Amino acid sequence: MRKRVFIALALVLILIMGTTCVSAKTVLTFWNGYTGPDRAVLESLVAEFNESQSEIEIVMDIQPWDSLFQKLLPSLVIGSGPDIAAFASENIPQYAAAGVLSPVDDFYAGDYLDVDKLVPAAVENGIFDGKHYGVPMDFATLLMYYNKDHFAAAGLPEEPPKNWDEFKEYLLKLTNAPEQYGLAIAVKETIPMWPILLWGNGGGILTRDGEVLIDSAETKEAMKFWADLVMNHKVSPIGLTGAEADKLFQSGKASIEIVGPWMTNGFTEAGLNYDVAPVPEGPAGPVTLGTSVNLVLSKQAGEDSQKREAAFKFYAFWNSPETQVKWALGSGFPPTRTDLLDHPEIVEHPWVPKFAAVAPYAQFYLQGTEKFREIETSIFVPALEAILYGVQDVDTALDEAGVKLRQLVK
Amino acid sequence: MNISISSRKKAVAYLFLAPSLIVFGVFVFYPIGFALWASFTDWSLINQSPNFLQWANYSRLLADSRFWNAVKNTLYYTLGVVPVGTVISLCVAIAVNQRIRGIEIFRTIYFLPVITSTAIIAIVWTFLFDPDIGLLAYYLKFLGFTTQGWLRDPNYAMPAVILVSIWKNMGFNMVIFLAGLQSISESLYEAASIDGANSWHSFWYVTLPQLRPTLTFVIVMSMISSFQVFDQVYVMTRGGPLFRTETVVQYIYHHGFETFQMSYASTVAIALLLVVLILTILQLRVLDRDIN
Repeated sequence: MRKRVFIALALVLILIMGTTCVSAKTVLTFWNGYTGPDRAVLESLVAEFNESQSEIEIVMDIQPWDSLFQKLLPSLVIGSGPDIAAFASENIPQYAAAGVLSPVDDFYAGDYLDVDKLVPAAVENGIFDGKHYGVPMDFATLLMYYNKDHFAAAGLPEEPPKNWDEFKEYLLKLTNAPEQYGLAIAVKETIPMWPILLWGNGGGILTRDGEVLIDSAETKEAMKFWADLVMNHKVSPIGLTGAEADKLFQSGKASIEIVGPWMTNGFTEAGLNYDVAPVPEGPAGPVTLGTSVNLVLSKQAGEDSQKREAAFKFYAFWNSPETQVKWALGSGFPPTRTDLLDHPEIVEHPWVPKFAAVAPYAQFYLQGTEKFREIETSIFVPALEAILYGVQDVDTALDEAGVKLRQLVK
Repeated sequence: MNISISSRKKAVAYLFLAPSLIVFGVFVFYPIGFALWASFTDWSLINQSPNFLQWANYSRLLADSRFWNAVKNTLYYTLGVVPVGTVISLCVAIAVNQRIRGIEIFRTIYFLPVITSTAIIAIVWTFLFDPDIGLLAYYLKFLGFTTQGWLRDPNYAMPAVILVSIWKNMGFNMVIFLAGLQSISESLYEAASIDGANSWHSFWYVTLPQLRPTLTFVIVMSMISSFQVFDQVYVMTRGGPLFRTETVVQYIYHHGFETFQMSYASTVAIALLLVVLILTILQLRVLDRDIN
């Protein structure tokens, strides 16, 4: 009798365990920093993914980017971090070098998604040390926002400037410091704006291959042109953070700002009469900044084959045409795919096609280096400030920066 | 069991001390000890198998110009906040020490900044200082005073941070001075006025000497907290522009949480600990010379 009860109990137990194993959901924790207006769109798309199937559940933890970056690396190192995270691709080298990310070459090699349709730059900048670590989550470019009322009041044509000479002409007419500035350009704590002006002349800071450009002749020439406009003609206040530059344009105290698609809602709500146009071309041709937040997989989650599979399915969902259309329409960002530009709803959107159109010549900032943050805060921004505050002249500041940069990336 | 009464009392005493001691041990002594150990290694958050480095971090510290810049900025900040702040809070304490009806309202108002979050105060003051949309800049323009922009100007950024700190902490020092003032016995003032002292004399010859211990306390506490300033600097300027407001703790933060070189950050922290310790001992010797 006892034996039979025992066998019956054992069978029931196995049955229970069996069913729970089969119906166990793979839960993936996902940290990101989309706290702004795009949060609602992101949450609805993730909810859609969770509801569309019962094997995988994505649990998001959204916090401001600076808190995220403070906590993410330490928590991944001690193994208590999220399974998936999303952050700007320039951070990938630091995390990959620390050994906390799992390479995702098999995602690209497999047939989860038609990966050849993804924006090439967004994919390339998720590569470190020859391996893919990131899958694009978003892609943004910077355009020149301009205040149409200011143009009219200054007697300027409706057409925005197309090259640096016209740009200079417009800025001088629009500037009446300190009541109104022609340009609101940020120096620190911002999406990079100054580098676009350097690239416009064929200069730069550091290429992906490690070539130091910060002290090249082209960079110095570009810097002198723009420093003169800012310091002597006061076309922009000096020392702005990204948020301050946004505020200046939003409050109508600046006529032009070079920034990304995320500001369109805020500017529209402020009642500004504005439009966007490609950044005026410098001598080296058209260029702008591209930036991509990439999805990364933690090493721990990567080693669990169920979680890995689940993550790849989510990546494929996120980058599918249907999801990308919804994302683009809801957030104003161009899609991560290159094959959606003719989509009827996208074409009708006031901003998305314009931001997507400049993707072919969008350059990324300080990619592929683990020392990205230090280069920005200890070399580039201080050099820029030293020049603009008149502490050092362009040649000295950039030469010194060049020496420091070579030392750092050796 | 023959436990004597005195050793039983001792046991009870230790029992009551235990919670405090445990908290101190875990949250103060252990981290200090750990930081001391870390400063002799190359432990970083990422490199979990550190090597023993002996004095390498310390020699790097001595040669680090950005560290000395941080020390200079911290001294500038302390020299700005402590004397001015102490004098202002003493004056305000004397002012609110009068027996006027409703004077408590003023005491409360002056104390409010102390209990408000430093980060929030810093954010609001950042707006006030903004040269384009800030109230302060707006009113100062009428007085003919235009600057490049307080927090964006390398020369005015630190004075702006000092101003905010003085404003914030004044209430705390005021309360301490108030307690000190109220403990001065009336008979001393009476004796002084009998001897023909006017209010300046009674302040200089009665109030100040009697306030000696309070003054010592306020100056030492202000100095210790000034050396550790971080919140305002981080929120208002992040150490800029051009590193002109980078204080020692801001620098520790940079190495601890931006470059993740925890061992070097610990080195700077230990250096700060030693400096504050030495200065405090010196101050106590100098100011407490006669009292004791």
